Amino acid sequence: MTKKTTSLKNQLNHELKHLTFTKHADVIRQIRPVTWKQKITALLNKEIELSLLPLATIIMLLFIPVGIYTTITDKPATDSDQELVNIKGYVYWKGQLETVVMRNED
Amino acid sequence: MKIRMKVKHLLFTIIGILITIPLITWVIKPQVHYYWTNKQLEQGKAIDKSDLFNLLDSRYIMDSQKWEMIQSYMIENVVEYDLFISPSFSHVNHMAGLVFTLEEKVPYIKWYIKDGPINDYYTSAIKLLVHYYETNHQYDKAEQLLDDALQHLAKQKYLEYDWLNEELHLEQAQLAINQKKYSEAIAILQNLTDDVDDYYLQAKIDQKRIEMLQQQGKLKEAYKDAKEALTDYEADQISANEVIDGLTDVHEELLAIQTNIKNALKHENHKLSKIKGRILRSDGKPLANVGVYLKSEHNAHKSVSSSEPFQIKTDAKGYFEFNNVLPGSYQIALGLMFDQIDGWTWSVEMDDWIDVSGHADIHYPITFHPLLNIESPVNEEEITDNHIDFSWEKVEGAAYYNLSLGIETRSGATISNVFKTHIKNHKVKVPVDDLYIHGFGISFSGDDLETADTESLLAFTHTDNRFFWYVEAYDKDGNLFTQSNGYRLDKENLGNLPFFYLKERQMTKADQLLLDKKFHEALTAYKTNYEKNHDDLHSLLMITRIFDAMSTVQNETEDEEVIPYFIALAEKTDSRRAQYRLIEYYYDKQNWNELHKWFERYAASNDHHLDAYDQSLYASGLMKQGKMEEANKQFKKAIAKDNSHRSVGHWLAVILYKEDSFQRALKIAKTYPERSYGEGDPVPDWYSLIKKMEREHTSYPNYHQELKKALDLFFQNKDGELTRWLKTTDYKTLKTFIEAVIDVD
Repeated sequence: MTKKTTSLKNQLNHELKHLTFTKHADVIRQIRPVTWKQKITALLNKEIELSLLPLATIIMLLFIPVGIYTTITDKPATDSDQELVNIKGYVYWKGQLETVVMRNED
Repeated sequence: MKIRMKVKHLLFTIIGILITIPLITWVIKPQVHYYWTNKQLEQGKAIDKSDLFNLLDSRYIMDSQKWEMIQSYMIENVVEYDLFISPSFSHVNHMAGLVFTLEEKVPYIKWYIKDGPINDYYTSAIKLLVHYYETNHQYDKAEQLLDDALQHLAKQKYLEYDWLNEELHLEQAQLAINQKKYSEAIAILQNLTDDVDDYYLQAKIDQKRIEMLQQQGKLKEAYKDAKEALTDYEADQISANEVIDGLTDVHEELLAIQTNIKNALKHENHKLSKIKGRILRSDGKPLANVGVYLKSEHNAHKSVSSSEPFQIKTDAKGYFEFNNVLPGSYQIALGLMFDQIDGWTWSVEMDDWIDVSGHADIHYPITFHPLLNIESPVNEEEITDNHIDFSWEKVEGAAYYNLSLGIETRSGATISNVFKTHIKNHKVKVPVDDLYIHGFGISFSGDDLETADTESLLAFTHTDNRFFWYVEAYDKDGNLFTQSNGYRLDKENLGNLPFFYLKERQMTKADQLLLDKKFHEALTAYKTNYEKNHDDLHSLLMITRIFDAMSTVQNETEDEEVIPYFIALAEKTDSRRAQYRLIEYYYDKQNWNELHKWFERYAASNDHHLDAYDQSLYASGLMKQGKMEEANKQFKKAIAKDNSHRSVGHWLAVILYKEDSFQRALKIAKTYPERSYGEGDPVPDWYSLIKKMEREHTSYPNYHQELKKALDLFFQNKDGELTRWLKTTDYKTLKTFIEAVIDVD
């Protein structure tokens, strides 16, 4: 580069120093269009911030009724509920007899 | 608080959840449920019946899995009731609570027949549905079902289905027999016979033929055929060289048919009878859908099986009816659901037999009564007074009550016995001393003294024992009709618990030695106490009980050492156990005066209410003294109290000793056949035995003298001479008779 061109360049730089090129993206988009795939990838890779409290609340609200429903409907019979005790012809459900005996002992 | 994440991670999480929820709901959860339900059932644990219905109705369980469930719980488990009761047994179904009624099964069985696999279960499913149609009198539907099934099988064209084919043809024949279409049944059976190739099937065919003859009243022919069928079957089984554990079902059924017909042929009249009745609650409500089973004498004590020849259900009004019943003795067993018996009782005594003589139809009404409620002492009350007030609700129509007491041992066994009989009032005041004297049978867990249960030995004198009691109500004719012990499952029916503790006395050092299983040291301590103080009744009581325990397991005791204690106890108290021990002792010693004295006291201690066993023991005592007239009267009374007629053998000995002819003995043997009591050894057929003796006596001029000679040896306890006579005598039937008389319990 000659001295002349160098000074021209300096002058141009000086004159343009207040201008900023902000359309990089537009230009790139025009010369190389973005595909859908790239858009999705971009979206997927986008980082978001979620508030934990509302999120947890929503999840709780969704699962509590399911949990309650399951507890109400699934009442597994215990062995002593279904087991019989026979004392010379007196036949009781074992669980029920034990409960009454405990109550008497108290 | 916030979390940072990429959108794709959030998306994966949501998709994950969306896939997992249906996967869990529709695949994993039903499969886990299916797995656990089956696992629980395999381990014999109780599950809720609705669980099985949910699985069977679920869209998310595979058909093959549903078929397996139908096979296991509906086809294999044919029992339709929670429990069975009869005079001889009470039995709770191990699948109780998970029992499907026929009505509940039908939709699933229909589906199984339509879409399910063809295997052994297929024919069983068909039979089940045929049974359902028959109970609803829809015979055309049953016939159509069998026709369709046979056509369906014919399309399969595989050799392995031959057996199923035969099974269905047999079922067709049975259906025809049940409808009295005998020629149709004969034709079906004939077709089967034409290409029969195994002896098992032949026996099944024979069984149907015999059943037909029996239904038509051709008993002699049926008996002959049954005998032939059995001989053929047994011979074929041996020649086939098949090792079979026990008896096959058809073998057992043929034997049963043969026995029943043989018994029926003993009756003069071979006419087939009807047994009908109605099951009602005492409030008038009929019990519908109760299983009613008619069990012949030889299998009355066996629990109900699916192949019971006589099984029926009560209709909506509670009626049941059995047709074509052979002459013989029977008991009725009932199949019930818990809610039908809960809070109620069918109080029936062990010796409740229905005797079908062939002369008339029999009416056998069954009434359920509400359980009797007990009032005091209850709910584990601790009694410290010197008396107990037993009280219970007053029952309308009760002429008297019997009070029984029991103890629960640490090993979990319960022992009980009757304490007081013929109580007129609905309450009774009992001094605790009477309870102390009242003992129980001693329970042993092994063969030696150390295994004796010390709680049952100390009985009511043990202050830590928990006792229970029950009361039974009898009408004026002496028939039991309600009791306090029964099914108390619903909270409403629970009532007062029958438990109480007796803490009136202090346990002694000797008692503690006994509890520590130091039997000999305890005995010494009790003896020392008694020597010091002859009013120490507890020590005297325990000496006799330890002696009892010793003589049970070790024969260690000598009567000479023991009897004085029993005499002392019997003289100082009203101990019926001591009195009875002395009666047995003097019976063996043939000391009739002492026997009579103690028997009088024994009878008086229960207001002269003797049970059949006591009465026949007394009668046997008279017989051995040669007081035949008196013995005859006593036996007559004893037999009237015991429907099992256990002492009839001795009575017959008395009659044959007294009289030179066989006629009266034959009449008695026929009227009062001895019946097996529970699952014991077979009992003698006294009627046949005496019939044979009658024939034998025509060949020997001095038959009656020989009979009297042998009986004299027995009456006078001349055991050595009697054994010699038995070894050397030529009178074969007489020998059998004498042996049977010796064995009378």
